[in-house]
Amino acid sequence: MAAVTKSNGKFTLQPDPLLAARARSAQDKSSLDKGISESELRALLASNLLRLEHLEQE
Amino acid sequence: MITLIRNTDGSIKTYSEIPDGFEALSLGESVETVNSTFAEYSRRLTLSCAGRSGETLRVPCSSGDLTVEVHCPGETTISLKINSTIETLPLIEGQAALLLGTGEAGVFHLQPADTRRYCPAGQSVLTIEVV
Repeated sequence: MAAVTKSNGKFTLQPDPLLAARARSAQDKSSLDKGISESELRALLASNLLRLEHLEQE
Repeated sequence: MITLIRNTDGSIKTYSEIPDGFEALSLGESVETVNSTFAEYSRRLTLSCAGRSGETLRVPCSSGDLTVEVHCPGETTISLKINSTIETLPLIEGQAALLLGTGEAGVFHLQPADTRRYCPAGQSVLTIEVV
């Protein structure tokens, strides 16, 4: 469950890393069409591993 | 008179108007009776949003702030658990309101922090999915 923070009397959800990774999937795929740096590649792998881990748990 | 079943940790598992709740009793749980009606007991804490209570609400992401209304008759404060955050609200004439932002997708789950006092079920819990 996503964490919640309170600011100015309002509660807001903290971004869920899994939802963010899933939302980025199309962007991740299109990033393979161009040259990417090592840091971008690491971020891409981390994003996909996160999605895979959760998929295995479902 | 209602029958109340407590979990082994003392939190309220369920309650009903059935005089004996032994069929729903598991090892280590306890039964007690409360001199109240089911309706009165369930109205001790009500959480609602846009007039809806006791159901899962779905709202679009970035659709503006949501107001959750809290009704807890006869009390001056109430502690709620909002996901993993505990918030104690002062009540005015047994009422308070909470503001929830919809800027991020995810799930808000609100329930009483003190589950020994309030059963975390029915109208005392509120789940809002921001999609």
